[in-house]
Amino acid sequence: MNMNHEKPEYKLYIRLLSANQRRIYGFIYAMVPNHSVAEDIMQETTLLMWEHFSKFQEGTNFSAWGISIARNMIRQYFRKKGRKGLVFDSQALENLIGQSDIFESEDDKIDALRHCFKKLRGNEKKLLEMRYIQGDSVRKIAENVNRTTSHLYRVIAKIHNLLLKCIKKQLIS
Amino acid sequence: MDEKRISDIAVYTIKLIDQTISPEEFEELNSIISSNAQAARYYNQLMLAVSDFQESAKEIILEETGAETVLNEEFWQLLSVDEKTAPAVEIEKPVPERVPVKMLKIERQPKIVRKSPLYTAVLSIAAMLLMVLIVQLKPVLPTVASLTDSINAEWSDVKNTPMNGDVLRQGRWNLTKGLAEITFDDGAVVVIEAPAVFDLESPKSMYLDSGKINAFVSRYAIGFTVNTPSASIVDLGTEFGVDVQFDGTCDMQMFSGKANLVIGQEGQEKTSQLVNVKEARNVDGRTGHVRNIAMQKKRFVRRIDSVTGLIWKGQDLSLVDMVGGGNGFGTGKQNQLIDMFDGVLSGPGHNQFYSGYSERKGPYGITPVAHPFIDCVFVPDAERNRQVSTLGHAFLECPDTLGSFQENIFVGPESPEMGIRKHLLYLNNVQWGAHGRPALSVHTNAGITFDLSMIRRANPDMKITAFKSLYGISDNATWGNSRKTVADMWVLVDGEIRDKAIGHHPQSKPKTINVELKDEDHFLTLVTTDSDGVTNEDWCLFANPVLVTE
Repeated sequence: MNMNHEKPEYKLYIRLLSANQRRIYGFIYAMVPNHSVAEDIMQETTLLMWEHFSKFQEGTNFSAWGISIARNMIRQYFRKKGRKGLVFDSQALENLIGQSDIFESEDDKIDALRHCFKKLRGNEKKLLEMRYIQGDSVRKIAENVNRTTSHLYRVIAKIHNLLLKCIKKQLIS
Repeated sequence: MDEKRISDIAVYTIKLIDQTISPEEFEELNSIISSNAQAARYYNQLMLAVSDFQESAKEIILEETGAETVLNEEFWQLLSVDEKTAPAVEIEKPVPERVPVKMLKIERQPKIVRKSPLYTAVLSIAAMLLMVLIVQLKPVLPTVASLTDSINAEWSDVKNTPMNGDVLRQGRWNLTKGLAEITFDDGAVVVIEAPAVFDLESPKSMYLDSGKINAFVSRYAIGFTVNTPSASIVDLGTEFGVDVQFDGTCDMQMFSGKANLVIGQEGQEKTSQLVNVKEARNVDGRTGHVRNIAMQKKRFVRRIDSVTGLIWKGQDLSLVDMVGGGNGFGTGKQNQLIDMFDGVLSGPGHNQFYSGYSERKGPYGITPVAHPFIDCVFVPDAERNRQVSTLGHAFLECPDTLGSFQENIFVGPESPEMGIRKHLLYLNNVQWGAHGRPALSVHTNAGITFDLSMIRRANPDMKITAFKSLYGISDNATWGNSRKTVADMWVLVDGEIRDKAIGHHPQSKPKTINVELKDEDHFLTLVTTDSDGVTNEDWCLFANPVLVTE
C-alpha cells in the first residue's frame, strides 16, 4: 500500500501507533522473547495495520486491534519460519496467546504502580532504582551487595511479584 | 499455582528480559507455560508489568527514593528470613558469565514508526530486489488447480496474473480485487472473494490466510481441506463458506452436507467437531474457542459466471423459480408453464385449448397470473394489446405482431404442454433449462410482467439493483434454410424500454442483459415479438434471469 504521508488518516495512524506501539510490541515480545524476531513481526504488523486502517473504528481500543493482528502475524511467522533458538513451543505459545487479553486492557496501571511502589521497603525501592534507572545488571548489583546473582534474581522476582499482586488489588478496588 | 512455581516463573521471566536465561531454564519456563494456562497468564502479567514499569520508572522511582542510596544489612536480614521458606539458594560462588542470547534491550522501539521516507524507500527497494531474487531462485512448483472463472479479478503479482483456464501452481496467491473460481485437481470448486491471501497446498487442500472463500465439494472430492490460522475444515461432500479475519479468527458455515471442523495449531493437541448443514461456527483466533453463530445467507459468494455476470450469494432472485411457482430462492418446480389464457401455473400434461402446431389467437389484453410476484402475461401487439401491467402500464413502442402465440411461457428443458412440438433450449451449444442452468422460455409472441413492488415487500431486507439475464434464440431453431427464425426481445420497466435485441436469430451472439433497477421501479416486463410475422421456432429464452439484490 502506498503510504501517503500527507493523508490525514496517516497522521492519525501515526498518532495512535505512537501512543500504543509499546503495548503492542510488549505483547509481541512476550510471545516471542527475541528482539530481532519481535521487531520483524512488529514491522509486518504495523504495515498490515496501516493497510487495514480504514477498518479501524476511531474511538475503539487501538492497541487491542493491533494486538489482534499481531497474534496472527506471530502464528504466521512460526508457520513460515519454523521454530529456532529460544522460542516457545506451539502449545506454550497458544497458552500465552490465549491469556493475552491482559495486554488489551485499558486500565490505567501507572497510578496503581505508583501507589504500590510507595508500599515497598526502602531497599526494595533502591534495588529497582539500580535496575531500572541506573541500568545496572543483576550481576553488578549482586557484586555490590555481596550476594549471588541467583539470590538477587529471586529477590527481584519477589519484588515484582509483590508489585503485581498490589496492582491487581489496586485495580480491583 | 503454588508460591514456588510462581517464584520460578518470575525468576525465569526476569532473566528472560535480561537475556541471561539459560537454555535449560527457558525449557523449564516453556514447560510450565505449555502445561498451565494460569502460568501463562502470570507470565503475561509480569511481562506487562515490567514493560509498564520500564516506561514509568523514572517518574515513579525518582519521586520516591530520595536520599536513601545505600542498601543496608537489615534489608538482607529480612530477605534472609523470607528466603527460609523459599527454595535453597545456590552456594555463594563466582557466577560465570552467561553466554548472552543475542537479543537487544527491551527498551528498543520497533523500527517501523521511525522510518524516514528515505528509509522507507531504501527498505522498499531492498524488498523489491529481494523479491526479484526470490522469483529467480524459485523452483518450479507443481500445478494443483486451475482458474476456471473470474470476474474483475486482480492479483498482487501483476506479472503473473492468471487468466481463465490457466493452471495454478502450488504456493501463495493474493487476490486483491474481484472474484476467482478455482477448481482443484481433485475436483473441489472454490470461489474466492478479494481481498484474500491463500496458499494452494495440494490438489486437495488450501490454506486460507485471510479472506472469504466458498468451497463446493462434489462427492468425488470428499476430504478437501481448508486450513486456516485457527482451524481446519475437512469436507465430507458439501458446500461451505469460510471467512478468516486478520487476527486469525475463522467463521465457517455449511450450506449443504457436513464437514469436520478441526481446531488446534500445528504441533498441538487437536479437537474436532462435526458441523452440519445450516450450521455455522466461529473459532476465536486468540483462544481457539469455538462457538455457534447464526448463518448469514449473503456472506459468501457461492457461484460466479463471467458469461452471465452471475455473482450468486444465495439471495439473488430467480425469475425462473418464480415461474415455477417458487419464491425466487429455489422453491419452485421445473417443467412448469403459465397458461396465457387464464394465468394459471401448471405442470406436465397441461393442455387446455391447444391442439398443437398452430397459432393461438389472443388473449387480447392482459391475463393476471396466480402468483404474487408475477403480475400478468399477455400477447403483445401494436393494434390489439399494448398493456403490460394490471395497473395499465403500456408498451407504447410495441411492434405490430401476428397477435397470436404458439407456446405458453415455460421453465424447464422443454415445454410440459401436451401436443406441443418438443424442443430443447441451447445457446452456444450449452443446454439451458436443465442441469442447473435455469431458463425461461418465452416463445414469440408473449410477454410476462414481474411485480417488483410485491417482491420487495416480501423481502424487505433486500435492495433489488438489477435484472440480469442472457438472452438468445435456441441454437436448434431453424436458420439458414428456406424459413428463417428471427425475433425481437424487449425488456421494459414500467412500460419503458430498458433493453432490446432486434432481429435476433439462432446464430446471433447471445445477448447479455443487465438492466439497472431502482427502488421506485414497479414492474419488470420481458417480451418477445415475432419480428417477421412468423412465430414458428421463435424459441426465445432468457437464460438464468435473476433480480440482483444487495
